[in-house]
Amino acid sequence: MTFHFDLQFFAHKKGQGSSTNGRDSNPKYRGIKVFAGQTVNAGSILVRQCGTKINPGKHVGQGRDFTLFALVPGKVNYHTSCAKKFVSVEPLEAAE
Amino acid sequence: MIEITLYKQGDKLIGIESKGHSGSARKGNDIICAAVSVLMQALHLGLRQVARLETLIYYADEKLPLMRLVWHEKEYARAYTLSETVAESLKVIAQDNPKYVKVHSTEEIIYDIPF
Repeated sequence: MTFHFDLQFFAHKKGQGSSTNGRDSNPKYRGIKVFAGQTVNAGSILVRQCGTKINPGKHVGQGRDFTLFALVPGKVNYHTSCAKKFVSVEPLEAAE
Repeated sequence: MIEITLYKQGDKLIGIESKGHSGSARKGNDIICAAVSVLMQALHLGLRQVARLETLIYYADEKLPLMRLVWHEKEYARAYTLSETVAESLKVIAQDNPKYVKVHSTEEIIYDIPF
């Protein structure tokens, strides 16, 4: 009688499968940073976005990564025109 | 958890059974399972080819998994050294790994096949 030892006789038979998921990129923290009606200083970031989900309106600048920021201090406004969204800043003097 | 059953007649050891998955790691990495597997299969080899017991009954079921070795009380003396060594070794493993191995004794007659 020849003997063979199964060293894993009492181990779980089904090898626990491994999933090929489980990867994710780092969070980008995008979105609207200042909402309508809020007052901002010049240079304040209004929106972080990928592409122009929201377009720059009056007194708003756009960075190379599509970030929108205020060019002048004032009150923030969002509006839609021709199915496009815009953000603009109403200068403080005009706002009063 | 692997459950080890020591079959006794009085204080004589006449059988050892090992049942269940250890579950301490995946197949291929489960060292506790390997230890119990080797001890049980070494006992089978020793009782079969070294002690040459005539009344030895070996039963194994991979699916459960279960491995059982039983011999008649009249061959107790020939099996004594080997079987007690393995039984004590299994107790040490159970003592060191209580989460994965448990040992208990019983005088239950597991089946009534006449020897």
